[in-house]
Amino acid sequence: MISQNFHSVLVANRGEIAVRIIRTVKALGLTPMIVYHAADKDTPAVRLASIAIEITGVTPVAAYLDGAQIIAKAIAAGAGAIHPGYGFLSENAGFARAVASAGIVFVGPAAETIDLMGDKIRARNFVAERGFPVAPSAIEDDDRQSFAARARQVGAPLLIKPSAGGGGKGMRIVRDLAVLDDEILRARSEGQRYFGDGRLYVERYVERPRHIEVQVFGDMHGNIVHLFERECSIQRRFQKIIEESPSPGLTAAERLRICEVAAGIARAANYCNAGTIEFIYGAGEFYFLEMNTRLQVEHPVTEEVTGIDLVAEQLRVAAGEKLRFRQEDINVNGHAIELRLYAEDAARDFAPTTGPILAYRPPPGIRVDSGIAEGGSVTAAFDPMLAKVIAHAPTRAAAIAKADKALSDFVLLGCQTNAGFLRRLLQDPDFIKGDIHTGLIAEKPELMAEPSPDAATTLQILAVAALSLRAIIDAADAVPVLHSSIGEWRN
Amino acid sequence: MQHLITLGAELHRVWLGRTATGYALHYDGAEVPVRLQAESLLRINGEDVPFVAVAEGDRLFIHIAGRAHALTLQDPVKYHAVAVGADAEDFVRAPMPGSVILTPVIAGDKVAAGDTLVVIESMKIEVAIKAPRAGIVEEVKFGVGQTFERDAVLVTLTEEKN
Amino acid sequence: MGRIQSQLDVYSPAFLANAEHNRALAAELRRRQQAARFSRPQRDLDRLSRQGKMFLRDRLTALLDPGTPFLELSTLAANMAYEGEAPGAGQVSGIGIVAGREVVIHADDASVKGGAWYPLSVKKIVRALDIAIENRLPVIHLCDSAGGFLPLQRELFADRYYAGRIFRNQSILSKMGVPQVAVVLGHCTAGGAYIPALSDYNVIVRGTGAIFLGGPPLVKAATGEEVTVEELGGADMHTTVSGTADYPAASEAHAFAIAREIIAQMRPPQKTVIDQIAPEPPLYDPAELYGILPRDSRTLFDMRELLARMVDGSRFHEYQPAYGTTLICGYARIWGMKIGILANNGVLFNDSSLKGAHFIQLCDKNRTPLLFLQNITGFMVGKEYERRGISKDGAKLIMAVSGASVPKFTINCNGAFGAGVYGMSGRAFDPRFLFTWPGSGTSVMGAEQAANVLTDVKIRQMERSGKTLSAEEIAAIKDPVLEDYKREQSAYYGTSEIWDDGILDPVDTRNALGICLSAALNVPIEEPHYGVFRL
Repeated sequence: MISQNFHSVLVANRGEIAVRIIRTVKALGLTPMIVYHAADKDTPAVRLASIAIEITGVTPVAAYLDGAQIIAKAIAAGAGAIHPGYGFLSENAGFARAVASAGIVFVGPAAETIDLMGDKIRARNFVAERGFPVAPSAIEDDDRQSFAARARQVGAPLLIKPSAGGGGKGMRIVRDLAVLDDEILRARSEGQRYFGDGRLYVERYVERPRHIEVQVFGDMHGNIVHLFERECSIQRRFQKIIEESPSPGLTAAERLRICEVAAGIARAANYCNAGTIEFIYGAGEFYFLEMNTRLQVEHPVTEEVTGIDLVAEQLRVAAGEKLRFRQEDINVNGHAIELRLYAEDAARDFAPTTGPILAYRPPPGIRVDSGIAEGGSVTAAFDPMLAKVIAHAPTRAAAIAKADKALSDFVLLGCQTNAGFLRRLLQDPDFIKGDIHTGLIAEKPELMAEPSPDAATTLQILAVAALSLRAIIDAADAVPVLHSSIGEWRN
Repeated sequence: MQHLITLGAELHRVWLGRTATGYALHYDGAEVPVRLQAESLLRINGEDVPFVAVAEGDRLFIHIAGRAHALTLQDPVKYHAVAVGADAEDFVRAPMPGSVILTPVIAGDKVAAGDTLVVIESMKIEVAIKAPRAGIVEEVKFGVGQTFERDAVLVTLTEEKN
Repeated sequence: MGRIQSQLDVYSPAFLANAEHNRALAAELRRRQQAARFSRPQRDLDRLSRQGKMFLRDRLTALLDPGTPFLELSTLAANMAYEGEAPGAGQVSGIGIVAGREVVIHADDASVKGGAWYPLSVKKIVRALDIAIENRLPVIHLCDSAGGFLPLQRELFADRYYAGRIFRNQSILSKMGVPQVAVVLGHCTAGGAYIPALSDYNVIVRGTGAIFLGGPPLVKAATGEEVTVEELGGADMHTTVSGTADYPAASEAHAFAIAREIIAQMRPPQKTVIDQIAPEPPLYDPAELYGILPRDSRTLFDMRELLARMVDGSRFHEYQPAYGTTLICGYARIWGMKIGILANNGVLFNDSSLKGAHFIQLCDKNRTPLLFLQNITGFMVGKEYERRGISKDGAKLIMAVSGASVPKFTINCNGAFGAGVYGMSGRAFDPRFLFTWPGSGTSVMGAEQAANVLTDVKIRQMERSGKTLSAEEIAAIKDPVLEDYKREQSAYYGTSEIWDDGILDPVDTRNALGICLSAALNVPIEEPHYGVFRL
């Protein structure tokens, strides 16, 4: 039992998660610090931190991946703890180790756990050996020679995954075994290219699968709880777009089963701090997908329905405290939906967009986690996620309505976003029924197109344009009053 | 000549005129009185419509009726200079007289907007003539070494077949 | 200012009969103008299409500011000439708004004989430029003409106010600092080449526009040189080599966009300030004008009834209401602008002539523009009036009209005959604009009177040689004379000859006058000064 107390927390991240973490750090009376690349100089996260330290890199992203530099800055600033957020170095075991070696508290699980769950094949084996459900699969490493044959035996449809991958990259669905060999070759070369590791494993693919994940939490005293599930089935190219809790597709029994499996896995791994276990669910069956040993982007929906500040709990657990709640203390109230607002043009196949943030007015009365502000700009330097809108209401229907209204009132001008696409998803009958799966967006390409505004709205838009653009007003004012009054008259 | 505003893929012709009491929008054959009731409130057809608008140069970003829109006021001189005939972008013309020094594409090639279609030389200056839009090269009309007048059609494009 | 109290019964049979008559005249005017503006043989329209040229009316739409008026002048020029083959004399001229500025438009109509200049075409162009000079209005020339109509060169080339006057006027406009923009939309050949060359700015459309003193056939005939239109005088040659043209345009739409942007660079005019307030429509319905004008123009009516349907709020301040009652004088407003009105209510006597001359001086001193509403058959004749000096008094009126420095506007409402025309600011007295109503006309004396005079001469001739003529024989002599006279004094004849700036539907007069008044105020008003009044 190690009690580590710290008075400051350095956030090794940026954007909306940095803002969100700093908020809780301040609420707990701790000193928030942040490292930032010059590209993020004027962002809300940097302005919110009490101490902001510049880091450099060949690219802005490279700076945030430079663990050694970040630790050096943390030491120099006297930071007591480092919170890695998500992405970047959050699942880098080496970084976690180096932080600990530097005498700084790493807000996350032990490095060994990161190692275990970071290797997808190891993680899968770990879970399977302990009797938790995994999809039928074939792992290349088991026997390279027979891999293709064993893959074939898994049966179609199957999913080829790079063992060093994660976050949806480098995965290929194979429905026709005839192309399996070809796809294996391609997947191997992609794995090599993206992750520096061409090893593969193949898993049974669930048709119309639903992505269900469970938030788990452990402390350094061996206590493990789950904070129920989230459904993240609304995805595009394996990137989540809408997440909600609870899942509209599970029965009470199924919910209990999945959550207890998740808690079981966490216990087996002696898990500490926050983590998420992801499952693929379909036709009453569910299989372990992977475990993320960090805080997830969509953690707010769990916070809203359980009323628990997960970052606060992360910091307490990292300081050596015991979890303040038992499993029976955790309840789900109402329904929460999170929408991810991206700088993307849905009509152009979600091509990333850039631009200045000329107007930024989030809707009142609803939680918005955002890392941008009016006067900033969206560049190609970073991931295009701009903000998250989280709607919490007594029922799912009410949450959908609240989310839709929030998007309708959310003013973000200067850079095109996927707000219109999100609203069309929220209004889609299948989504409203809760009849969702990870292929839903791919099945509904018609939702991507931005419909033209109707005639009345077009007229209003043109009227605003005419009254706002100097050239148009000046041309109107240039006409002498007499001629304006006579109007378009001919003798 | 009316003002030209592009909104999405559509071009709209509008005019703002003054009336005894304020302004009127001329659009689609009708004249509709319009007024900015307050900084972000449009009065039109008896309704008060809230909006947020920010201009940047000739672009205007508007949030209205629950959606964001971006529109551009076209400069009439530049707009009409290019829109010669129905498919101005199908005919890639020489901006000045000169001769061809490089033809990197051939008929049938698929090109993206901005791809170099032909490199010309004129008055000791080399210019790369780029595709104004994505499409398929229909014909490259001049070969290396051949000369042409200003506005001569150098390359023709056809629609990209999806 | 008090309002005119109308005494008319708008339900009386006379009123209704007049209204029917005048509405028919107005409908006839509209029909004839529509034909002059739009009726063209299909082959001419097809030819324009093939050449990639816009129809003139579409060119005007592209050039002018939307939602603004265009006062077209002399629409029916040449309607009774050249066997009707040159509607509008192949020209459109008028006052419009471009980029917020009042401008004079002079446009060749290539759908009429290729835009060739007939003698009346030249007269129409010269008149348009005279208006530009007198009112300091910028000019936009839309050039698209085949050149002078050679068979009638004797009537359009050599004299002082013939074709050369166009180029002289252009030079004077430039000297005055009044800008001109020429848009070359077709060939500008020979003299026509000087229009863009003498314009401060010009735009030329690539492919259709060309400027040369001699076209390729003439060059080949003259020197044997073979050269294409583009090489000889096309857009690229003139904008990059000779410098005769300023802006090359890829299309007509492009050219008009450029022309509008050029006009927008011009300094806005300094308007002369006169008494002006917010406008007010007449209290009485202007459509009632149709019921006031008599079917037989010799019938007397009260001009005040006309005024009540034309001026702001039907308000009128009458000057010397008890004196010289055959000439109504007084102040009113049109579109808010204060004007002094002289309107005939009978023939001109000594007292009405004096009153008129005096009132003109009052308006001149007061810087009040003058509006003359003509309904005049002449001055009073007879011993009594001669002894009282009617010739002198008429001369004083004419001296005042001629010398007035304020802008003058004339409407021929119900006939302008004889010397009365002079006293009422006829064409020769440089009103800035002069318009005629459809039922009106002008000649040295009324048709009946003239026919009687001419017939009497003939009858006496015959009687001297012993012949007595029957009623039928008299009619046979008189009727053709009467017919000719009526034809040549009609509004349509006068407008054909460009003795006026166009025929107006009476209900359009208020708008037309508003536009004309505004145009006239681009020039400062000189101090009043006159010649010698024979007292």
